[in-house]
Amino acid sequence: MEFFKSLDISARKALSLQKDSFFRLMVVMMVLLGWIAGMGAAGIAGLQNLYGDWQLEQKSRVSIYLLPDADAEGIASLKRDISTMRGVQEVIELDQQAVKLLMKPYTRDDVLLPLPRILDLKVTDELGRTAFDKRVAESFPMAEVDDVRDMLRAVSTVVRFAQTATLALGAVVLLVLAVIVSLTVQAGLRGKKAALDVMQYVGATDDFLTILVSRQVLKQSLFGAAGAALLGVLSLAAVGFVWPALGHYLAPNVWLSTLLMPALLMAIAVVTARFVAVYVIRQES
Amino acid sequence: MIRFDDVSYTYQTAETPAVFNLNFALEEGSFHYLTGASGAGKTTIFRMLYMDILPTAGELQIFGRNVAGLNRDDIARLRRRMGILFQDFRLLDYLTVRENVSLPLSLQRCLTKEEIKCVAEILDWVGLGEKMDQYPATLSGGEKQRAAIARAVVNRPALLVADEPTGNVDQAMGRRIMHLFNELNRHGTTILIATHDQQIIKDFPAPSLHINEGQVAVRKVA
Repeated sequence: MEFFKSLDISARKALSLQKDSFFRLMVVMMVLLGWIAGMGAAGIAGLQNLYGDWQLEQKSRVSIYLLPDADAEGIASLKRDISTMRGVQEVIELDQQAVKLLMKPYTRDDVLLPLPRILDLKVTDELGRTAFDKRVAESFPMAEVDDVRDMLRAVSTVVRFAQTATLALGAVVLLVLAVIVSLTVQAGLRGKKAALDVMQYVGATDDFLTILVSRQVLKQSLFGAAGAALLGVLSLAAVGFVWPALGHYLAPNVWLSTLLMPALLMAIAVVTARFVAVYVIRQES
Repeated sequence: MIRFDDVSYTYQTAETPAVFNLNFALEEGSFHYLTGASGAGKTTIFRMLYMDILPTAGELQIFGRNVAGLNRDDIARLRRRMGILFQDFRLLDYLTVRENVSLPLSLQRCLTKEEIKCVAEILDWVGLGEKMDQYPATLSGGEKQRAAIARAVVNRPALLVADEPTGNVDQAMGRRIMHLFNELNRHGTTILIATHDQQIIKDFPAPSLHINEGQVAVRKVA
């Protein structure tokens, strides 16, 4: 509560760091770093949305490719058997029109090739591939089972790596901010040595002096964070406008990340300022 | 109010103490001079009084509290009961005279209407009522001295320590300042003034603490 108490102008002016050009630059640094961190966080959230949707779509699908001459009775028998297997929710045989569409990128219109028969399965993680493959091979030894879940694992690793790298970048941004705030507050306070001395001689406690400094950093970083959040929101809006396909993935969590990161940076700036101020005040007296 | 019992202080870089075995007391409401040659230890005693440094030996009691057991917050709170007047004024150039004087009152909250009035009255009392919105750079040496005095007394301190308060002003201004101190003393403030000015001591007689080679002898009023 002490922190938010209204203070007299003479105390505020005595320890005002506003005349320090580096201190004034803190707003710009906050905007820049807050925007980078906000975009990073939005990137992580957006990637998560994109990957999550794609994974949901892919991880529940297994396809069985059968030769064009596969007999209908064998197909029906296979459908019947695998439908009862654990982990299989649905088995559909694609009609020839759908198969034609699927094969279109790989065939020429003027050549009439016999189309394969495709069984599309909706499955869960409980599907045991060994028994499943064995049953498919019993009916159709030449059949191909297309299960993208192995690829999903590889893609998942890449996505996690990208997210970790972005997180690491975020950590670097936070560190850079802490260093900037630390150096700025140190330089500002050392430049105010005379004022610090006088205020201590008239009875200012370390807490009082620290609050005076932290409040100034809060004010600067509040402006910086607001600027960073605004810039982040505008950037996301621009992304959605320029690449409408990505608009679907700009879910509320993406916008929220962009807004919360500058706020986190602001909190770090204030906490850093407080610790540095205590350190400098004790060292200088 | 203030009690020095066998107090010594040795600076870290020195082999011999700057002051040693100091034994004296300042009673509440008293008025004393602190005299002695340059380098005799006056500044060391002053710094111990406003707890800028703490004794390296002996016991110093300020307002009845042994300074050895005080933490930084305790020291800050005790300083609020003191007025400290430095030889070099230590006014902040970027604050107006009014803001400089308000500083001791601004440590806990915004100034109340009474406090704002009190600042104006004190500035009138030291003759700076019309210059309260000016910056120290525009003031003469004597005016700066009076602004520093106003700051030192604005919170009605129980103890006022003044280092050469008449050192930077002409004789007439020096006498005016001493009248201010006498008036403060009449209102109950304990005063200790370090001075070389024998004329002032003669014109405004009070007991002296004479420091010589790091030791203090109390001289009664001449």
